[in-house]
Amino acid sequence: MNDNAQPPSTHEAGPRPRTLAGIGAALVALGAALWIDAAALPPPSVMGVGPSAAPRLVGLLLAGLGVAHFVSAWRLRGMALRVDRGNQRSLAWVMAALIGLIGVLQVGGGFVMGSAWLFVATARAFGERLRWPSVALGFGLSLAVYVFFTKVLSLALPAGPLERLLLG
Amino acid sequence: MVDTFAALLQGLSVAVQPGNLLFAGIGVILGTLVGILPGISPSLTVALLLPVTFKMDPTGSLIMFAGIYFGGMYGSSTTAILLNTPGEAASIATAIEGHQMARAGRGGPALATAAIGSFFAGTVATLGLALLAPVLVDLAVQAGPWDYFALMLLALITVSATFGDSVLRGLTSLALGLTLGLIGIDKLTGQARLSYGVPTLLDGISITTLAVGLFAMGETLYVASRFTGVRERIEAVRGSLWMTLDDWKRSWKAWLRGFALGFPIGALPAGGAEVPTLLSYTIERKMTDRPEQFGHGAIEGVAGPEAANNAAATGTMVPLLTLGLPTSATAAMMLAGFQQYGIVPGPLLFVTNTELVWGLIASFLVGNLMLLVLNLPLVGLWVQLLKIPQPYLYAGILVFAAMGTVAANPSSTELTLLVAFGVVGYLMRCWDYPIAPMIVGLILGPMAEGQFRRALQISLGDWFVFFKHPSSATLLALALLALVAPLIFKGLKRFKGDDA
Repeated sequence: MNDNAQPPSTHEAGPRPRTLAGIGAALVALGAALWIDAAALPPPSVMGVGPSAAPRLVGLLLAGLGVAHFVSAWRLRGMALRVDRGNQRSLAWVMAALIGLIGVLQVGGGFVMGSAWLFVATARAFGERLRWPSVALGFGLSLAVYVFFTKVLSLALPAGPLERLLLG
Repeated sequence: MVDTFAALLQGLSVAVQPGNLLFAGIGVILGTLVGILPGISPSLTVALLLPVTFKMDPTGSLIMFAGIYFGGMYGSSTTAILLNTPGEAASIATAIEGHQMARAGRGGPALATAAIGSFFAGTVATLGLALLAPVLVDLAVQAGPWDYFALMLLALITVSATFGDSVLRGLTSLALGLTLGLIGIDKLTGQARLSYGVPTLLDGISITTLAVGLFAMGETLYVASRFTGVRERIEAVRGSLWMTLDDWKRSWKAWLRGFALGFPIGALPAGGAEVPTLLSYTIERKMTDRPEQFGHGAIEGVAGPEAANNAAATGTMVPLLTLGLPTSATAAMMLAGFQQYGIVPGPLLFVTNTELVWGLIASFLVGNLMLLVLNLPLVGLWVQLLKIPQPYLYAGILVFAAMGTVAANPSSTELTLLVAFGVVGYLMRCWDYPIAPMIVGLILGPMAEGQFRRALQISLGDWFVFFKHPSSATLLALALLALVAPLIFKGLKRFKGDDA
């Protein structure tokens, strides 16, 4: 596993040392969570192993991988790597699109409204202005999906005021 | 041998029933579509269709899923050649030479050699699958739980560690998938594990949610974070679509070599189509008598990898159908497709669902023929798809992704999980962790655990049961080798670093 010995020259070569250490800590914590959960399970009743064996094994694997992350972070310490923050504004728009969808469905706004928002906000993230073409397309697509699911496939999608108004 | 062909013929009679032909047609069209479009993969498409096809006929749905898988392979080569953006990871090699050919006005022959090569390799590989499957089934019936566990361990290790860029990152992705697989009620004892009192978690993590989150949400978030507002240039198909006699002469050996690499590697529980395509590209570059053309549009560099890629895709069906062992993200989704109908792929499938399994295998032949027709004369039509504006493309992908999950389970817990997996998928892409091991880990992990516990029950708790049987001991030794092998494969890794 000496592939970490070579200095990564590009961003694609993996996380930076501090991030690596962070991932390592998260993996160790997850491994510990598995062991804590396994401890609450009853011991195997008859022969063989019970439900707690697999969580313990996976927990060990996670902890081992966490330590390996620490080691590779230590090897790469002090190495100046290019920081690539990317386009945070676009990223924020997509996140807003997804969280908005959950919000709309949560308050009973219905599938069409939620997914139209998802469409418009995602399009905004990729540089499409918040004007009528994208709003109309978003509503049209969401409505078509809703009708196809409920009428053709007879699968339920959450209905809100808009769906009840348009389709009875 | 004779039995096999009789079974295959019977399968063909199932595959050409109008309903199944229709499903195969829908599958290959959808597959070509998603293969061409960047940002949406065949495995994601199958994941999205799982809740939709829940009530449909199993044979038809599975034929459709297979069509999507193969269609994606054909479609992604079109994108690779004309846009220089490989639609799937397995088309990276095609993008190198194919795009140069398109820029030199030889896009037609590049598309033709890719489509004909894929057809040739896909067809021969299907026959290989038909011949190999009964042999493997005979072996698999005699295998005990210890053998299955060792085999699954081998598959998990090869998928995550052996062929990736980094053993550490591959295994980490796998371990996360295994952890997710533990969540929910234990099937053998009814004990709840890692569910922390959340009712949705008691049912376990659905593979649809994980796949849609990691692929659709993660990919969209990642592309958004790299968004610069600059559009990619589509290379128009200029000149003749037909290959010259010289093109044929240079292509056919590359197709054969591509098949010879792709099918065995795909059929081993080693997974993925990326490795054989890159190997095929390297071999073609070494064997050519015109090395100066490589990097500037050598037709062998398209023909070989495309044949390898399709042969490997068919090859992954061998362990999936005969052993129930998925070795790629798409195969994992196919397995989930089987499971939603309560069908368990494996040796018994060939006894209990003869018609379904041979119909499915025969449909690969039908599907490949359809794809050849769809992709060669109609390529101009497909290219129009690449003109969909990027904002609408990704907005549409997210709407369809959300739709699948909302239809399956409209609880806010499920949607929050979906978004959380999306963020995980985004981070994994940023830090270059592979996605497929996590998907395979989620679906194969619980199966491996079941075999592990069954083996220990039969052995009355003796942990040496895995080493006492020569077959499972050999497989475990191979698994260990697979973990260490990446050091031997360093040459391959360096090659990937140079060109991809």
